[in-house]
Amino acid sequence: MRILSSSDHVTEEFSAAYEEYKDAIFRHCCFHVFDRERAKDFLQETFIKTWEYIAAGHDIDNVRAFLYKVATHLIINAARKKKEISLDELQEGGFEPAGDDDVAARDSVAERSAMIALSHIEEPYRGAVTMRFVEGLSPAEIAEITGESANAVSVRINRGLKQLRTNLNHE
Amino acid sequence: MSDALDPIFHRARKIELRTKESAEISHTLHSFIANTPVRAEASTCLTTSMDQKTVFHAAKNVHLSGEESVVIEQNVRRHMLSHPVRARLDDLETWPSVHSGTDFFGMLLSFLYPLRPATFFSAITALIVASGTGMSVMARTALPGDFLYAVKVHVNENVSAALQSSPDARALFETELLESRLREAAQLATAGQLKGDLYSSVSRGINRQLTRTQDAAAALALSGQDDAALDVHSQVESDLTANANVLISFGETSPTAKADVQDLLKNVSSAESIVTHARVVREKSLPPIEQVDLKTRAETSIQNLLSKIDTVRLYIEQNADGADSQVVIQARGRLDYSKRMLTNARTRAQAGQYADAIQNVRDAQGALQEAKTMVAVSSAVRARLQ
Repeated sequence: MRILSSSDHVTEEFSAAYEEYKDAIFRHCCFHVFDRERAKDFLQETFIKTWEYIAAGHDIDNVRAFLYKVATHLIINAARKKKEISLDELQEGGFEPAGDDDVAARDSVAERSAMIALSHIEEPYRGAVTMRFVEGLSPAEIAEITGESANAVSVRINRGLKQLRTNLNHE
Repeated sequence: MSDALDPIFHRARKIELRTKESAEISHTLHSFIANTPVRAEASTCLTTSMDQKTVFHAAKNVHLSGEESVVIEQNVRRHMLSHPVRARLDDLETWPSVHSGTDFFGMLLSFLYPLRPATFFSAITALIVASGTGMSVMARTALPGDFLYAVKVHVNENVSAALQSSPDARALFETELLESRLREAAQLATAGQLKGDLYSSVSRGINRQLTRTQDAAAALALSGQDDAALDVHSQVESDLTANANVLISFGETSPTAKADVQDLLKNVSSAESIVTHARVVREKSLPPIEQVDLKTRAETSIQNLLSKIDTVRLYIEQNADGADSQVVIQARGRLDYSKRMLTNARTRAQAGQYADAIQNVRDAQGALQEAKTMVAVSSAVRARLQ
């Protein structure tokens, strides 16, 4: 998806981008900070920053990649100022699944378990693994987002998977 | 020394709980244990039943709730309103069509055309003032592609826009302009004249005006007038529905203009879904209202609706001859529907169901707007074709 600042439909296109990518960017933030409220703040800030970029007269050729980049930079900048939430805090309720009535209790346990499992993967491997296997991005697309080569991304994915398997088999 | 202390220690060893005390403490302890399960270590949360595939599958389910999404979207939209896209003068779309120069005005336009847009329109404005009000009056009925259409849009309408001082007035003005753009498009489409570059230009004009109405609604909401903002969305929705109905009705009876009408209909239908979405988002973001306020609002709305029904009924009767007969029948049907909604609203208000009564009034207002717009557009279309 691309957005041109000169387009007459720029507001509608931006709204469509929000609808399409909000959950993916939210997950991306969650898998970095493991705190729902902070993840929502980063999500909102990501779209605000993206709009400011468009409003300044710039065009965006690949909206998805741009959103991921902005979200990642915001998280990195914030992480430099504040340490990430600890695993114990996550277990004690730092993350709760969505509050919709249709989320079954066992699904919420599974989501929390998944978050814990993924938290064991170190960065930058975790980001590569979640973008590949949760969001379905190709190594080339991840490379565009992270600014790395596709080969480097593939190596990160493999190392991240190895860490995940090790932790899943550990007792 | 120890001999003297032994009896003391011997008696001390015999101190024990009474049976009743032991039973009470045991009961308390068991209750505590039942409510305080052993907390598993982090790694043991990942039981053998969890594999890599399960982890990713569960991770994909992480998402925003509906309410969270709406709140964030509203916050982003507010920011968008205060940070509009910087307009580029070079992207002005509604250049007048330059004539071949066989008439005086054509030659004048050819002379002025290379000027930058702001200078061009200043020159045109000066020309209009010098020539008296005749040109401005003539421009009122101009359609896209006509020589005076640029005067209509960039002079007449800009002058009127400058006079709208409040968010209310601005919102009303922008919705009326949207009605004009839709009517112009319908007139051209039904005459089989909405093709190629003209179609692109007209579509862009409609979309631009639609954005302006949405921005006007957002400005109303920001100034605390949530109801008025909702009314703008509802009115725009009704206008789009009415235009779509007229186009559908006309498209069925006129094979030669069918393609143009179908293209425009797609544009209008797409715009309708955008506006409906915006209205739903705004409705969800409204704070809860006190019951006393709801009662007052319901009663006031019902009173206002009565006079609107009479106004629209009169409008339909006065313009029925100029509109398509099928469209008039449909418009009368919408008028009857609005009367039924009024009856429902009164019944609900009497029963204390004020929120439902207000919704009935809103539905009735939408139907009235549709009825009026359908007759207006149909009359304009038939006038163009004669």
